Amino acid sequence: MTDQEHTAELAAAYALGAVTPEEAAEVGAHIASCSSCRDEVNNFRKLARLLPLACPQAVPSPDVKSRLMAMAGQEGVSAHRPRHRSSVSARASRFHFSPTRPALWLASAAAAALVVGGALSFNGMAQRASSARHLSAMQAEVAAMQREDLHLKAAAAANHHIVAAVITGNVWDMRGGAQARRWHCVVIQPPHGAHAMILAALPQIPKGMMYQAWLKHKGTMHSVGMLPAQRGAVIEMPMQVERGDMVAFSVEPSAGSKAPTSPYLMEHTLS
Amino acid sequence: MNPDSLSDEEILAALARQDLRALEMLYDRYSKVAYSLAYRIVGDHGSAEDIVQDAFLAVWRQANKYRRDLGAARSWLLAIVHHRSIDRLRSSASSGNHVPIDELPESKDEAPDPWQQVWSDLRGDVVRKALGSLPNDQRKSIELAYFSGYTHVEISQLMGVPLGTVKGRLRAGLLKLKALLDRQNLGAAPA
Repeated sequence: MTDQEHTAELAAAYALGAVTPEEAAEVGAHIASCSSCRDEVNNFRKLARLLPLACPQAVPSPDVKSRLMAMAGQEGVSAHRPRHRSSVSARASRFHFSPTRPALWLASAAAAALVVGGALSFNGMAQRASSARHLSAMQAEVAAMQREDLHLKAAAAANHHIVAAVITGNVWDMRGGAQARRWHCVVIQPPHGAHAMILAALPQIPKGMMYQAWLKHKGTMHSVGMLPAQRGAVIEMPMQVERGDMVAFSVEPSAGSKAPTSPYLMEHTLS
Repeated sequence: MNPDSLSDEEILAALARQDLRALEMLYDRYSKVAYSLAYRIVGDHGSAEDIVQDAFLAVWRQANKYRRDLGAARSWLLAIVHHRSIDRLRSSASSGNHVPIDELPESKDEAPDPWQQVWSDLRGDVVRKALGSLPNDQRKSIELAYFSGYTHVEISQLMGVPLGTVKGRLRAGLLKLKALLDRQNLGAAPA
């Protein structure tokens, strides 16, 4: 298209998005240097922008907002979370969260672990919960999460990325053990490339020992974190997980081991 | 933050700071029109909801790249909704090779956007009536282009008319629409 070949006949179609990529490229190149055609295209575009108003009005379900807020909240936290565990107050100020948010986040982890751990103690995490009321609310939310109830309230979902991850990501729920040695582990892979998380409630082990979580990913075994016994805990893994990976726990000295030194308490392939 | 006192651009600035309350405000302000547009195009509630969610998420992720001189915030959001809706429509029809609407370059020297007036007056019914009063062939051509995602070539095949006729109908239809909206003081004034 030369300067002499103006875009008049294509301007309307272009503004409505009804041209081929080749035509769009031609028109785009032409209007970059031809002000009269550019003005015409812009005027048609303004009209095209009015067309959404011509649609019969419809209202999305409240779930859309819940999911959106959950995903955005989760992304906000993931995108800015430092690699090491920072203080929750620093996180709160960075994201303009309400002061209660970090407590809620921790409470939610405790609640999640409580739910998955059944009767196991969760003292360490629970102590950080701002109040019994918050903890109770979070327990209810996580219980709903466990029932795969996607109708979580926006306020709850928006404020905590575990729930968000459960709603939007892949979840593997594993449990086992005899009554006194019951364990429960939930592996969550949030969407958009965030690192995976493990929520676990694990039985009593000797003092000075901890559980070490392992991930066999593409044939290589990685240590993915240390977990305390007899209470709920959540750790962020240093990588993503995918189907076919194997998650396992062994009992190790609290400083951790480079490779498992005890039989696995459990091992589970993510299917 | 008072939801009613903030402009779209102020909301986007807050979004760029990852403020979830700003996202909620933007959603409350535009989810209805966004959903109406998506549903009008894809004709399926589930898909329309996915599109709306994705569009707001895209704005959330890219708010720091927003530039006021490239158009109004709502136009940007609705362009994303439109693009994704048409994309969904085209992918379900297994056709491809189309231009993403929100990737079309915008001019920097536009006249004040008539959207603002339309929006503030909540005069959607005026636009509906204006579109409905266009000659049938023109209205149909515009709807096939904008709401159904067909190219002018495809429209000519669908309607069984020469390509030049379709181009003429799209152009005449938009000009007529402008004249009708001008009578209501809603038209797009020439730059």
